[in-house]
Amino acid sequence: MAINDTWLTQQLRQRQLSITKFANHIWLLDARGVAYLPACDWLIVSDLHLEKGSYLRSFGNPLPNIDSTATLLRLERILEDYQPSRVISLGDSFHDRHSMSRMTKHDKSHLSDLVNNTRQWMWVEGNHDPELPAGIPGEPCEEIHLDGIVFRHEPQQNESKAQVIGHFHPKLRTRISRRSYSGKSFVHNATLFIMPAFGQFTGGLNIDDEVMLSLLSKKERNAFMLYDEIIFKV
Amino acid sequence: MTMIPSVFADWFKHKGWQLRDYQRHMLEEKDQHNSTLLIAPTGAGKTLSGFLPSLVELSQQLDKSDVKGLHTLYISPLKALTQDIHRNLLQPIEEMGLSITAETRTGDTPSHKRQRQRKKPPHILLTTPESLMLMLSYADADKLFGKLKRVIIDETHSLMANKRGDFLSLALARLNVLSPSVKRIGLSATVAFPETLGAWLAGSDGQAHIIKVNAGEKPNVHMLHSKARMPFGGFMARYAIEDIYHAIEQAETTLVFVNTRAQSELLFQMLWEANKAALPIALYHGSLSKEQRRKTEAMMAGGFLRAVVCTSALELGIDWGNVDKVIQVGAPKGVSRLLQRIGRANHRLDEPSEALLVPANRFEALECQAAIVAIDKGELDGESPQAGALDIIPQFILNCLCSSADTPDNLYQQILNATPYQGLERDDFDKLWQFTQDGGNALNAYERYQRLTINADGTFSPANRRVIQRHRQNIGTIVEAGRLKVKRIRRGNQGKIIGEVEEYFAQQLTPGDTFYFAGEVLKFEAIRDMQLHAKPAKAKEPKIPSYAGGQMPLSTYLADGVRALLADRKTWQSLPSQVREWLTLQEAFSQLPQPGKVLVEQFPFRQAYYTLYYTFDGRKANQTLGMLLTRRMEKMGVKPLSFSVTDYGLSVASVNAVSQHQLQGLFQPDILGDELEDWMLHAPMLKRSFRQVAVVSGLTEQRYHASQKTMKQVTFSTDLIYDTLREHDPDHILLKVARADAERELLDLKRLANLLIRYVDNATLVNLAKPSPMAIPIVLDVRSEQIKGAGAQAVIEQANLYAEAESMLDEVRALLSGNTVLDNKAG
Repeated sequence: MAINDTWLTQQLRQRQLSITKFANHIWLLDARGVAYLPACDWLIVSDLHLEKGSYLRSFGNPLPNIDSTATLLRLERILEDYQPSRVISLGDSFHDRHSMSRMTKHDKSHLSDLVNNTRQWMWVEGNHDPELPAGIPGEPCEEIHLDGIVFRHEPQQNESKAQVIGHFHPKLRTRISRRSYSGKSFVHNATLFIMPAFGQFTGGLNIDDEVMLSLLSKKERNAFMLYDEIIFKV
Repeated sequence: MTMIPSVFADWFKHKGWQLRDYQRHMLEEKDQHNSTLLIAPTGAGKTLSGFLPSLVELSQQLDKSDVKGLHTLYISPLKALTQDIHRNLLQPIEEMGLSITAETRTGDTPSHKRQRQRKKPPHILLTTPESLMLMLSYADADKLFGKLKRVIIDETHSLMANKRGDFLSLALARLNVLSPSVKRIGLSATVAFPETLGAWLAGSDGQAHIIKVNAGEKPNVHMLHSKARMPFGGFMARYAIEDIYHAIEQAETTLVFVNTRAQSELLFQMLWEANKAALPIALYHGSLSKEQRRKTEAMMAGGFLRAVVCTSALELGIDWGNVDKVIQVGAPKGVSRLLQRIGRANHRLDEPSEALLVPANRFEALECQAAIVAIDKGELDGESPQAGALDIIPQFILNCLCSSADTPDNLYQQILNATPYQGLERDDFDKLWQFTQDGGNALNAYERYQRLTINADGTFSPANRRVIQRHRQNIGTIVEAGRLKVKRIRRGNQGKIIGEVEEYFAQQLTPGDTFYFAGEVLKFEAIRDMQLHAKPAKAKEPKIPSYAGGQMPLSTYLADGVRALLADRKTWQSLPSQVREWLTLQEAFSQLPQPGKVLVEQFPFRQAYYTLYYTFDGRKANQTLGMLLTRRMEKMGVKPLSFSVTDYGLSVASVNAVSQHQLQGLFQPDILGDELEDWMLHAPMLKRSFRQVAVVSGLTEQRYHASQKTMKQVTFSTDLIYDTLREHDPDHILLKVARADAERELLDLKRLANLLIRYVDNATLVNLAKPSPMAIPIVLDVRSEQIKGAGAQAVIEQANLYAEAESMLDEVRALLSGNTVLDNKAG
């Protein structure tokens, strides 16, 4: 744990951080798109989609393939701030099975450094990455349990415990004083917590979309929007 | 000297026509000039003149032997125009009994017909720039176009200084490669600068031979002096519905022009509400489906309609026969455009056209008056030429390579032959080539995919069939925002496609919202498979009033006209009395803009402070000024939220008010500081142009046939790509292209600095309790640029529930200091 009271107060004042309660735990929501559990010094990040750019390139879209570089740089700065004892990457960390064969040497060693410099790094499997690519440090797993909470990529029905998931890339759009704002979003109710997608080239699904509403109804949900490097509750 | 063949002479005689002097001239000199530009007002028989050289030539050759292959290509900027011209062309061919074949080829042409046209081309083919480019991508393009003698470009004036024109100029350059002796004929309405247009047409040849036909009678243009109360703001002209309806009743057939599709929908609705006599009134705009448009066209041609409410989609030369009145609702935006519209009435040279201008608000009345003055003086606003858009180059490169393998050197030379690209640097071209080849950065050693492969002889070809297929599906440059088909649902998922809307409009809808489309109120259900599903609704008033699709820029020329009007009280006499009252009111409530001074008004409005700068320096200058001012305001802590520009000035919304002292600090030339570049790159405008560039250059693709799935994966916004590039690869060619693209809307900084010097100590700040009469139409304009920064954050701040987070802060503190960290017992 590297964060202290001063840092916390400052981040909160600058709206870089918000706090919420979920499943009897206090959660820090960082405007940069990660969640932090101060009680156990865990950092949660979801849907990195590394090498999505190069994946699409391989289909003939002349996209710039610097998305992994950008994603990893952003993640590095966050890890410097928190220095958590455990990082949970909540699935879809790698965009496809062949991601690593396309990743640049530089990005590869950057990724390894990040993982190796963290005490424990858990790769939760996702639909894009059911298997951890070979040669990547860190521990693969299906899901992680903590008290009454399960961390997994996609939600399971009839789950009695509270679930923390990724997969949906939630975003939201809101109007304040006649102006429209939109951005990625954290959204949760009493039993389900959905992380925003962290990857550089990740789009989003509006939390007012049918699919999202069936998971989290408007009435009971808490939504936090990430906009221009600040976070606020909607 | 070429004598006109007897069959032609007889036909003219039979029709009771005479060969006009310029037509004879064109025939006589048909082989002397590589390019000829015919400038004539509408109704002068321009199109027939364009075809005459081809018809004469073909008929003479056909007399001797059979002529095979494509002889003449006619290119029209509008699909609908090709149909109409085709009809008008077949008539003389049949009446003279010539064995000349003429066919159309557009995006709507069925594939079996396209196939046949490739194998056995007609003598004359009528097509659009996009279809031409597609044909040029075929491997047998050289056979198809190899014997081409003439190419006719209709409505040439509409192709200057825009991407569509750039695109066509490249296609023409390519045609010259396939058939070096091809002669170009441009047909144009009257323009301000014929030589510029002539140079555009001629390409590397220098200058076209220009033939000018004098305009006939000046049109009779009047402004509506309504008894009903004219509003200060708004763009719908609801107040004048009775007057418009009355004017329609009095005329045989009326075209009612408006400026946006939303306006056309609304006006159509309002006219039908006022339609006591149940006159047949129809609606026509570019978003309606092909079938609906065809139906209206047919009814109009048959004389069944009394009026059509339409947008610029009907501006260009389709011959409607018996239109005897044109009504322009809303500001005319530009003199040339207005004349073009007025020209739709009375397609005969010797009778003046009748036109009625209906301003939607009092500011627009000033613009209408300025336009009337300009028409009276015979002055036109003109567009100056611009460097060609670079994002089209990758498309063009791929297009050429689809047809035949080639080298960068060759293609670079060909591109230089297109006038807008004469200044293209080799360095930029090479980067664009690289982008076309592999996406343009060689960072990745594991790169597997290349769009182009190099052949043994050093030429390049598309890597595989898929590249070719994808390219062909995406040809075209007119990139509006992504578009969704509108499906009118009757039950379940069944219904009819009735048109298209812009994607951003669809995005703001939530299920249950109602809006006007195709002349009725629809209720939004959902977006499915790139279609917007909506049901007819019972509601009379839609909840979402309009979508601002198809706005058009104003001409700077008219802005000057308005400034002159304001400055000279004597000219106020010609304005409607309500407008004079309004100006007097403005003077009493605030001030009138003075020549040589910048009036700045400030007032609270819509939970923000608005400052309005009446610069009268035109849109470009105001756009750039808007970026500069908001940047400085951000630094001063004024917290700007958004700005919007018109030709007359700009309005900035901010959280805090601007003080007199701050105002003086705003207009200083030192505003052009270092971080300016970065701030501009931040601007939504740049992102907007990047979005276009991304599609045009093939970075992301619009149209997919079978591969819908891949499309889905690319639907994350191009904004993300833009931001990533800006930070991690700032030299990427597409950023440069986007910047160049945006600059078409910007004034260069040197000139702006000169303007700013003029403003120093010449700005007058007037603080008001509410918007002034003159400000209302400007602040009601919906198109504004949002600014990210302290302002937006401050607004969010007000609305936010931070107290809740703060209340939990103590608990977090306890966790941080109390060493109560739990065991990592999970796994």
